Amino acid sequence: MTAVTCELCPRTCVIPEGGAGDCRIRVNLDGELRATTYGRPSALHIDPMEKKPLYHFLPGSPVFSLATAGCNLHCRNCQNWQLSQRGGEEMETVYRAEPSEIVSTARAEGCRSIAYTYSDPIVYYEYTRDTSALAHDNGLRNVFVTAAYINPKPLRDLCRVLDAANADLKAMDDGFYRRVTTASLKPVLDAMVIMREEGVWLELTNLVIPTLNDDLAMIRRMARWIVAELGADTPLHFSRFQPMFRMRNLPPTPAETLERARAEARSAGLNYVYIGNLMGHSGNNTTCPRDGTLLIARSGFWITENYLTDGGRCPTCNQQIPGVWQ
Amino acid sequence: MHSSNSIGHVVDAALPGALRSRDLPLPGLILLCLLLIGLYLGQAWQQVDSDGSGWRRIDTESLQRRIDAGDLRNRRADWFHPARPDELPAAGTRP
Repeated sequence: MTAVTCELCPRTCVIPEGGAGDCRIRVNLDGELRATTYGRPSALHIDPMEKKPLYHFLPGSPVFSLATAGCNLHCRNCQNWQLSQRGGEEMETVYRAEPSEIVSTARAEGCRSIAYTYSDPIVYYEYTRDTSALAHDNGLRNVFVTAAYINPKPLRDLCRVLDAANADLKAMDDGFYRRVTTASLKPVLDAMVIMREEGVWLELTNLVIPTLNDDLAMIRRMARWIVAELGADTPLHFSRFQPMFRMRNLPPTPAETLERARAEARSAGLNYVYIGNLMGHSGNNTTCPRDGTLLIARSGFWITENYLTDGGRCPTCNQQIPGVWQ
Repeated sequence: MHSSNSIGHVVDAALPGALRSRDLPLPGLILLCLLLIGLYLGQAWQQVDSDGSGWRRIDTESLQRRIDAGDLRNRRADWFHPARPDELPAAGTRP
C-alpha cells in the first residue's frame, strides 16, 4: 500500500491507496495520484465577464466557462454545492471535453476567453493548465475564479498561462475561514500576492454575510491590507449573501450593510469598490476616482453604458483606468 | 379566609419530603440536557476542526466503473510524492 502526499494545496492530504484527497477528485490509484475529472467537466456555459465578476477585464465580452466536480473548500454557504461538494463518480452529468475541444468550441462560439470557475479550478489543476496553454496558443485568454487556497509553487507555474483572476477574500479573519470554509486565511493572502507579482489581473470578491463577516472594523482591516499588498487600484466586489446550502438560517445581506462596507473600503483608500448581486444599484457602476465621471454603467451582469475611451481612459480628465480593456 | 395559595402552602408544609423527592428530577433533567448539548457541540466542533484536514474514503468501485466507461479519467496528476514515513498518520486516525 503506497500512500501519496498531494502538494497542490495547503491541506497536503496524505492519501492511502483507494482514497481521495479532501477535494474528492484527486485519487490515489495504485500508488499514484490521479486527476479523475481531467477533460470531464460537469458544467459548461457561456457567461458575461461581469458574472465572474470581473469589471476591469474585457468588459461585456462572453466568456466560455467550465467546471468539474470537487473543491478543496467546504463553505457552509456554497452556492454551487451540488457540483463542488461531490466527487466525479457522484455526478449525473459529465461531459467529455478535452482541452482542444474546449478551445475550439470557445472560438466557434465567439468567446475571447475561457473561465475556470463555479467550483474551484485549483482542484482540476492539470485540466486548467493544459486548456489554458492551448487557449493562449489560439489567441484566447484565461480567467481563474478561485478561493485561492493553493500552495505557492503550483500557483506560480499556473500563473504563466493565466490572464485574470477573481479571488474570494472571504473575511480578514482566520477564525471565520476555519469555521465557515474549513480553510485558513494566510495561504489565501499569500496566493493573492503571488498572482499580483506574476502579473495576473486580479479582482477580489468579499461575500458579506450578516453577523458573520460584516464588521466594519474588519472590513477596514481588509481594505488596508489590499491597498498595502495589492495596490489601491485592485477592484473589490462586495457581494450580497443569499441563504444557501448549510447556511439557511441567515437573511440576505441588507443593501445598507453593503453600502457601509463600500464606504469603509473607499475611505481606507481603495479606488474601485463595487456592490454585487444587487440589481440596479449604483455600486455596480465604474466611476473615475479623480473626477467622479460615470465610466461604465451596469445592470445585473449587463453593461448599459460605456464611456471609457478605447485606451481605457476617463473621457473627461483622461485619467488612465487600470484594467485590461481590449 | 384562605386563598388557593395559602391552601397550597399548608399542603407543602404537611408533605415536605414527598415534594422534595418529586422536585429532584427537574435539576437532574436540566443537568442531563446541558450535558447532552455539551457533548453534541463538542462533537460538532471536532467535526468542523477535522473536516478537510486529511483524505476521504470514496466509492472506489463506482469510480472504477465510471473510469472504465470513459466518464472519468485515470490521468496521472502532478504535484504529489510518495508519502514519507513522517507524513503518515498514526494508525486509527480519521477518516
